[in-house]
Amino acid sequence: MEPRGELTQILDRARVGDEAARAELLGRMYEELRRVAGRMMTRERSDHTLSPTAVVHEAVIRLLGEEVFAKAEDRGFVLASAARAMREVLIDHARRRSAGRRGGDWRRVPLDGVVDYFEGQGLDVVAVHEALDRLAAMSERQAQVMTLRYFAGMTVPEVAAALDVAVVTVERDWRLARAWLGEQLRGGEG
Amino acid sequence: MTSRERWSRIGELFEEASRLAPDARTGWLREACDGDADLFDQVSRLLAQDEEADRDGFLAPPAPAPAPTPGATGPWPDAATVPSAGRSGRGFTPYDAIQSAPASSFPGRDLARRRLLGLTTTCLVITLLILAWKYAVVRDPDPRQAAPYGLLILGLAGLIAVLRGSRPFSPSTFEAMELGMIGSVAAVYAFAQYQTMLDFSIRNDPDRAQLVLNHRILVATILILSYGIYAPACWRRTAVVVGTLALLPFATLALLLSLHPAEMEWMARLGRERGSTPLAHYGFDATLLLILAAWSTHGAYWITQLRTQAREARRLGQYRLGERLGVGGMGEVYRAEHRLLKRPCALKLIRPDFDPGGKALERFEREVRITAGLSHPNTVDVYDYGRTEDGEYFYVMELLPGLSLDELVRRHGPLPPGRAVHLLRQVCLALAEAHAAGLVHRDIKPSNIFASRRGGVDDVAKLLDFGLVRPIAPGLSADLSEEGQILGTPMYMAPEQATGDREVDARSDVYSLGAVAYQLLTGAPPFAGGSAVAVLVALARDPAPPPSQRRPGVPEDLECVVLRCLAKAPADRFPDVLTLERALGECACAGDWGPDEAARWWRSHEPAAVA
Repeated sequence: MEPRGELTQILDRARVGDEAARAELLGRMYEELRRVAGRMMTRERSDHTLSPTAVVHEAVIRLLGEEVFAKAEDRGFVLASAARAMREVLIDHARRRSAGRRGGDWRRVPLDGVVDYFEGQGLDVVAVHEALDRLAAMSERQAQVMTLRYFAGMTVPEVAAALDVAVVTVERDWRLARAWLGEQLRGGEG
Repeated sequence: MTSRERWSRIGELFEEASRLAPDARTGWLREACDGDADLFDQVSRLLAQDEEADRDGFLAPPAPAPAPTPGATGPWPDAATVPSAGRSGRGFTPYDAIQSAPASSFPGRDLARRRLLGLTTTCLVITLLILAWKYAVVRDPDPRQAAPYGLLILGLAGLIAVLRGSRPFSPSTFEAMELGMIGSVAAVYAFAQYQTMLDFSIRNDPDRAQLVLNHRILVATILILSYGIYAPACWRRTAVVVGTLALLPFATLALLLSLHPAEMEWMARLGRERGSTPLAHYGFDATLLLILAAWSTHGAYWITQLRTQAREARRLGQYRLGERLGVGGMGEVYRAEHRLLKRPCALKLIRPDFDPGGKALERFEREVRITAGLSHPNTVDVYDYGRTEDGEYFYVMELLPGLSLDELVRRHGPLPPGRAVHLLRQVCLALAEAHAAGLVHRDIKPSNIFASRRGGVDDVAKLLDFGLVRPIAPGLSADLSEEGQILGTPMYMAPEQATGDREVDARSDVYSLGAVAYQLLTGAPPFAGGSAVAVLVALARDPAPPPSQRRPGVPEDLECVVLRCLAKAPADRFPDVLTLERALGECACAGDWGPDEAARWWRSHEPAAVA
C-alpha cells in the first residue's frame, strides 16, 4: 500500500499556512512539471508545438493522480502552486537558455515561447519573476493571476475558473498588476 | 515594501479612479487621498503606467497558445462544442485534436512531368535530326544557320535535365514550362524557315526553297500530333496551341513575301505562269494541317475524358460518393453506395496530407483491422478498406440510420431509465466480444454509440470507432499511443486513464460505460463544467454525485449500478462488462423498453431518421 494521503496531508498543512508544507508542495509540483515538460519536449513532435497550459495541466493531473483526495476544495490552491512552480521551471529554462546561447549549445524548445514573449516586451524574465514574488507579498491573488495568465498561458476565463473568482475580478487584478509591473520594471524610480 | 492593507487601499483607489475620465482623475484622487501625499503619488504613478501600457501594448495578452498537442492535456472542447459529425451525426470521432498539416499535394504531378518529358524529347529528336540532315547529308548551308538550332537543342536538353531531377513543381509551373517549350520550338522553326527560304531564293534555287516549306509542313504535323498526345490538358488550350502550330508555316511565308517581294518574286511568278493562284498552291496543305490540328484537339479532349473517368473509377474502387455526412481533422465521412451491390454505406476518407509522420495512419489502419475482426451485431460492420491512387485511405462501413446517443440526448433530453438500460446492455455485449479478444476500446462516449434501425428493429445499439483500441496484453501489437499521452474524451474517461498511472484494462471501459449511462439518465456526464483542469481534478478525486440528485426519477437500483461503474478504483467496479450487463438486466426498469416501445418512439419523434 502506498503512503496514501501523504499529499492530502501536505495540502491540508499548506492550506493553513505551514510554510514547510508549502515548500514541499511546490517542490513536488516543480519536479512533476519538469518531468512532464522534459518528456513532452523530448517526444518527437514535428507537427505541433507545446503550450505551457498543456504542461501545467498534465503535471497537475499526474500529481493528483498519485492519490485520490477526500475533498473537492482548494483546486485553486493546487493550481496556483502549479503555476508558481511553472514559473520556476520557466525561469530555470530561461537561465539555462541564456547560458546555452553563450556556449552555443542551445536547442529551441516549445516553452521558449514564454521567454520570447517577455523578451519581445523588452523585459527580463527573471526580473518579472522576482517582481511577481514581491507582488505576491502584497496580494497573492494578483500574482497568481499574472502567473497563470503569462506563465501558464491561460485565458482570462480559464484563470477565473481556476481561482474560482469572477472574470471581472481577474480583469481588475490584471490591470492593477500590469500598471504595478510597468512601474517596477520600466518605470524608473519605482 | 507596501503592506497588504495599504496595497488593497491603493487597488481600490486605482480602480475607482480608472473608471473616471482622465482629466477628472487628479482632482478626485487628491480629495480621496485626503492629504496622504504618498498614497496620492503612488496611485497617480500607477494610473500613468496604466495609460502608457494601454498605449504601447505593454504586457498585451500573449498570442493565443498554439494548438494543444494531440492527446496531451490541453484545453479541449466540451461535448457541446465538438463539431457534431454532420446533420445526422454519424458519430465518428472527429479527431479534432489532430490537425491537418497545411501541405497540399498535386495528384497527377508525376504524370504531368512524364508527359512534358515525352514532348520535349520528341522536339529534341526532331531538332537534332534537322540539324544532322542539314550538315551531314545536304552539306550545303551556311554554318551560321545552325545557331538557332544549337540554342534550341541546348534549351531542350536543359529542360529534360530539370525534369529528370527530383525537384517538385506545381501544375501551373508545368503548364508554363510546356507553353514556353513549345513556343520556343515553334519560333525557332519559323525563324529557320524564314532564313533558309530567303537564302535559297537569293541563291536563285526556288526548288529547294519550296522543299524547305514542304519539310516544314511535315515537321508541323509531327508537332501537332505529339502535342495532342503528350499534353492533353484541356481541349481549349490544345486547340490554341496546335492551331498556331498549323498556321505558322504559312504565316512565315506570308511575312517573307511581304518583306522581301523582290527576292521572292519567283514564287509569285510560279503561280501566275502556270495559271495557278497562291491559294491553289498552298491552300490544300494548309487545310490538311488545320484538319490535323482539329483532330489533335479532339484527341486531346478524348484522352483527358478517359483519364478523368479512369481516375474516378480507380479512386474509390467500387464506391460512388454521395452527400458528406461529417468532417473531422483526419478526413471526411460520406454517404456512399457500392456501384454494383447498391448497398448504402458510410465511407470515411482520410486525407493523404494530414499525417506526414504516418502514426495516425497506422492507428487508422489498425482501427479498421480491429473493427473488421469483430463480428458482434452491436459492433459497427466494416465492409471494405482501400487506398486511392492519390494516396487517400478510405474505409467503408455500414450506414446507420438513426442517431448517436449524444445527439439523442441533446435533441430529446434524458432517456427513460428502461431505454438507457436497453441500449447499454447491447453495448456491453459488443464490448464483451472485444474484451474477450484482448482489446480495450478506451474511447467509449455517447457520440460513439448509435441507436439505429437494423433488420427492421429500432434502438439497435451500435458501437463505433475503435480508433483508440489497444490490446490489453502487451506485445499483441506495438503501442502506438505514446507514453503519458491522454487519448480520448476526458469526460467519459476512467481516472486511471486520465492520470496514466495504472494500466488501462477492461474495467476502464466499464467506467466509461457508467459515464455514458450517467449522461443518458441525467443529460450530462458526471463531471462537466468548469475549466479543463477542474474536470480532471474532479475526475481524479471527487465521487460522482448520484444521478438522482441531478435528475429525480432515476431508480435506485439502476443508480447503484451506475455509481459502481464510476468507482475510482478499478477493483470497486464491475469486474467485466458481462457482469455489468447482468446487473443492468436485473434492474426493475429493464423490462420497460423493448422493440415495440422503440418503434413507437421513432415513428413519433424521429420519423425522418429511420425512414
